[in-house]
Amino acid sequence: MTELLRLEKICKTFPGVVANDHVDLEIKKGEIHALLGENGAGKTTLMNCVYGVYRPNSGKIFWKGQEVEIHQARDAIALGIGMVHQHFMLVPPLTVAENVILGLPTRHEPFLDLASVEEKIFESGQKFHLKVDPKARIWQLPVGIQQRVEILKALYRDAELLILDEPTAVLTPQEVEELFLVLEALTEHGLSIIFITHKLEEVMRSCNRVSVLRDGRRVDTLAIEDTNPQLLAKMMVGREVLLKADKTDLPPGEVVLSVKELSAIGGRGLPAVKNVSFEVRRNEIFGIAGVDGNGQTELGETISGLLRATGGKVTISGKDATNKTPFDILNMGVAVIPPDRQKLGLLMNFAVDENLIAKSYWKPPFSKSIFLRKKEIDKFSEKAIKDFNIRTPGPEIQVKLLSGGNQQKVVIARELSKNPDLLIASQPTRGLDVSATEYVHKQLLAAREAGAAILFISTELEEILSLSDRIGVIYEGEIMGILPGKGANILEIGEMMAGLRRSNTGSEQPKKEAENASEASA
Amino acid sequence: MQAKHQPRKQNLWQAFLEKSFNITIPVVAILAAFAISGLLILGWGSNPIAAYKAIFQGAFGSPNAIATTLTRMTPLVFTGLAVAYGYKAGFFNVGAEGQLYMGALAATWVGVTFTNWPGWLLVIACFLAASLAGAFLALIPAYLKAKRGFNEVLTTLLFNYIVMQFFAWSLRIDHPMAGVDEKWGLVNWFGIKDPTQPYPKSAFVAEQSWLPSVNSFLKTGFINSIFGGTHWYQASLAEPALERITLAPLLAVLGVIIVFVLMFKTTIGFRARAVGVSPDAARAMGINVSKTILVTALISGTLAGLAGAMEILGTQHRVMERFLVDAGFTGIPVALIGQLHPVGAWLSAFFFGALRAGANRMQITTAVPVAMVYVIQALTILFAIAGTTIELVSYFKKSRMTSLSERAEEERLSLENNEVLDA
Amino acid sequence: MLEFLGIFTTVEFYIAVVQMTTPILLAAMGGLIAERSGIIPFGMEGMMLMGTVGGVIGSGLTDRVEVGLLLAMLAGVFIAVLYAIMAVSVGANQVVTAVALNMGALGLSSLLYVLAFAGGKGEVIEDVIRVRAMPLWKIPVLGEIPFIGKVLFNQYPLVYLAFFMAPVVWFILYRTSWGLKIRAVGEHPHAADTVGIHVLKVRYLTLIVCGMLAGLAGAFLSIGAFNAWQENMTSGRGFIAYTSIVFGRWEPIGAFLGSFLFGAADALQLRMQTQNIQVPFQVMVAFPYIVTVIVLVLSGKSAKWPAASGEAFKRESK
Repeated sequence: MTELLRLEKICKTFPGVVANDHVDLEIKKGEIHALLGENGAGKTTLMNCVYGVYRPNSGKIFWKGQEVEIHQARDAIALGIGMVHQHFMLVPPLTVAENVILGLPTRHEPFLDLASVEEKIFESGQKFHLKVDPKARIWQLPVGIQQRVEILKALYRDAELLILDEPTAVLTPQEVEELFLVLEALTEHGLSIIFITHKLEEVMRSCNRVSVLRDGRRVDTLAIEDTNPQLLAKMMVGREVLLKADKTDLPPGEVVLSVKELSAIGGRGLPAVKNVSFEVRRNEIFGIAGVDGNGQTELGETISGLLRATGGKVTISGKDATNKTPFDILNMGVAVIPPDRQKLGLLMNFAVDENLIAKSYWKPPFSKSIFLRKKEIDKFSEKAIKDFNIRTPGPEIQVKLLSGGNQQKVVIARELSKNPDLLIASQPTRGLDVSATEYVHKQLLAAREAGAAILFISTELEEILSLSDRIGVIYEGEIMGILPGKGANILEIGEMMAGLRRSNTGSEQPKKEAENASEASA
Repeated sequence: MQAKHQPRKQNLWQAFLEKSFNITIPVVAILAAFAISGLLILGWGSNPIAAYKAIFQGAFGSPNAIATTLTRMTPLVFTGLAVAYGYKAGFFNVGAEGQLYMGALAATWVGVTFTNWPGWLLVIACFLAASLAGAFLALIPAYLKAKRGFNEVLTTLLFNYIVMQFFAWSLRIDHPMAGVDEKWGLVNWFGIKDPTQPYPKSAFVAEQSWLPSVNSFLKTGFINSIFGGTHWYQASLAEPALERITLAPLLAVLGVIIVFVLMFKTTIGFRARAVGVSPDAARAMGINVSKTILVTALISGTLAGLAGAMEILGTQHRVMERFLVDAGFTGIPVALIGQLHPVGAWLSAFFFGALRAGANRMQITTAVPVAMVYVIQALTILFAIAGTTIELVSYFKKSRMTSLSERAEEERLSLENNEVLDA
Repeated sequence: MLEFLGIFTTVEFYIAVVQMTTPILLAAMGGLIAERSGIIPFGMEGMMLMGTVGGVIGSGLTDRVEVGLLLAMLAGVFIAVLYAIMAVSVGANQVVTAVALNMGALGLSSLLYVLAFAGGKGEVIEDVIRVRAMPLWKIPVLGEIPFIGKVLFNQYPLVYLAFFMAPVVWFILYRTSWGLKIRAVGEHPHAADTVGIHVLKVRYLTLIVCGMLAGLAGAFLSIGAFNAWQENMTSGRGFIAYTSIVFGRWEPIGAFLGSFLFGAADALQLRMQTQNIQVPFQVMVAFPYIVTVIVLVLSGKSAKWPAASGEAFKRESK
């Protein structure tokens, strides 16, 4: 097999982050090459460099042995590189055929010749198991078929290399099987495929070789025959946990949050949360570990009332909280640190003080009938700024002018200053630097000591391990198992996160097991 | 200790400016518009300085000119407030024009129907009717937006034209006025036309509902008893401009204050602004987004309706076809040039009002047509909008963001150092 | 009532319907192309207004209608390019920009008129200045057909152009690669960008076409159906054209029907006024708007407003 694409020492940095650090990679003709890694390992960034979405800071790209410069997606397409992003780049009201030829010159410019395009699409469909009705409009098609259109789009542009970014994340199990058939058919015809994933099972099942990325660096490239899932899992997450927070031993109190067989449909219309059950008690941090996009965000949103539960039950402090409005849930003593602080956590154009009272402005002492009481708000925000060490020139500054860490402090100050019974902290350290991360951890532990029950959702395994009293691992919307935090085995969790195995204390008998686990941690 | 507080104060002032409104952009926009229009006037063969001086004279040069400016600006203040309040909450009310006409129609209808009511009651009834009419009109697009996700720009715009036709129709249906005609048929309930007139015009609203002028204020026994003998009192009484300046401009100022308080000092305004900043975040914080949109539209429509009532009760006292041209649409630029701030809206309404008031004098004295004023207005809007947009974009480029937060950091560090030193 | 029905028996009424439809239809077709690429064509009122004055100046100063038409197109394009700079390049709010441009066109058209016919001395032009207007073009053979010939085939050239534009616009949108690009840019500019379509260029071009057609629509008012100019001559027809687009749910055929509906209502209203019939004709004028609202509400969320309409496109920085 000959070499098709070779990357030499690709480096790409973003302000404050090294996304790719001298990455070498070689893709052979006709192979399916898996790019394996956790969140933030730099897989997508590396491929965006190849596809011309980003320019690498240094390093070389060779295509069929020739050094090439790729400035924009158009250049990559011209070379024969196609990429299917996680968010499809299709125009919903246009038909399949129209999407496929969009931007290409037609046979008799400017007249469209859709009939011949449709025929060609049909032929490709036969050849590669990519059956699609070329006359259908994109919005009418399920996600799995839309993905086929993206692949067809690349094939129509004579792609020799196809990059698929987490292609199975949006598919049902059946569609995944069909996709693998397509990929096999494509490689039979000489195409090469780069398959970005974090799922070990898929790597083992369908790929020829695998390159593992970790923290922006390539760990190794191996032929599938020479490896096994355990080894890959170790390469993916394998490292010593350095961070250990000072955590006092506290006996867990009464149950605050109880989730029973909860299910919910996510933004793509697919089940995102499936039959999840667990309990969180006072003085306890319950960590949800998992790779991003496995339903943990939806789980947090369903409990906090932003997403409708399609089944199951949520109980908070003994009261039913299933499908209540966010306002009702707020009034049950629940605090929420949402995963995207700029979108959901803060009103970016509002001042610091206004954000600090954004969930309590309507009640005393901050307002009297409809009027806001400036004096009380000032008093409270001065205190909160001091207590939570928010670095701002003043309470009247718009939060969008603060640094990310200080923005998150505003969210935390608002949520924790009301001494919640339950705190749902979703990715609270995402995008923060080390000192800000440490700060958030301290605050979470302080809340735990103050008696809150904490549901801590994070894709960073280290912080889950160092903070949690118990850990639930989520994979494709299901809890793979619940483990005690003390002495948890990182490899075991890593394998569960990659869907490789189910804990023997799995979620088949969720309630009982959850209780067992909580007893174990006590 | 001095050093400790100095930088903080500066930043608070900066913060105040951030939170109120940015006056630089509108001022620069106005200057740029005048500069370019000046070139046009030069090309025209007239002297731009003389032309601008004429506008100024026409707007402020005499008591009569000032009266005209105040009259022109009053409805603009209200439509500007209507658009600003709605926009702040993400409800882009393009329908202020129609709401104003409906407000004027409702106020006039009450004013010509309940002629035997006492003045204070009639005025309140007129304002109430105008508010309800405006609010009702805004409510339908708001409902469609809140519950069914319709774009309010389309629906409010369409309603304008429907309302205009209803208005024109109503002007042609005889109003069953007491003593003239007793046929209170169903259709006549909506009629406003003065049956004694051949043209589509309404009768004058009952005189006790006319907003009192400065002149009538001076004539009250109380003022007369105090200043009655003075020379300036007599001069003032003789000044016809004081008859034209009514309570309406004062009510406009009151409107600005009320909207300011509503926007920034109440829970209603807090919710509205939160939804305007980010409906998703607002929902996550427990705010009922669709209810907030409905309430916002009601307030916005009320303000636009009141603009119509002000014009009727304060100035024209009756409705006729095209009695007030474009005041509703002009509310949109008034609000945006005013940076969506109530005080800003007042200032830009003042600017627009003065321009329109001074235009005639410019035409008479310097032969530059009145139409030039429209060009000046358009250029001002374009520059202001471009300025605001570019500034917004630069926000997202984060350059300012980081620099400001870094400055905050530095300052905090220096503060801490000072504290250490103090200790 | 009999008088009212009598209107429908006259040929003049149907000729009026065709002629009232023409400017709305021309502008609507231009606006449709612009909006399908993602720009709300609220600025059409200003483009049309400039078209009216461009037409009258060109025809008046050279005594040639063709020059008038050319100048009308240029005047429309002038506003369109200003609109494009603000809405496409700067990314300003389109509705506000349009309000400003319509206001500016109102002033500028008056200024230009006085400049052209009063020699820049700023005199108030007392008399109506008559200029050469478009001749009627009788189509051979077809024009001879009784009734239909008079209504459809003995008309002004711009009438033929307007009615011809509807199928042309449909063809361009759905049967050419240009149309495909326009639709893609209006629905999902980022997707269009990734396959190498120059989003800003497409939007500039559609706005220029919109300016040309709206300019011609304006010229039809001043040197087509009429032979003189008056201030604010379009009196809201640009907005009517936009409403026709909404009525037609952003489809050429629908916009054609919408324009026809508004044109017919306008003609009926005029006839009724001239014959002094005491029926509230405002109902007729309001009728198409009410139908438009009903169409919008009934079509619900499936209303095909181009998804990216009104939003400025900015490529994410690298």
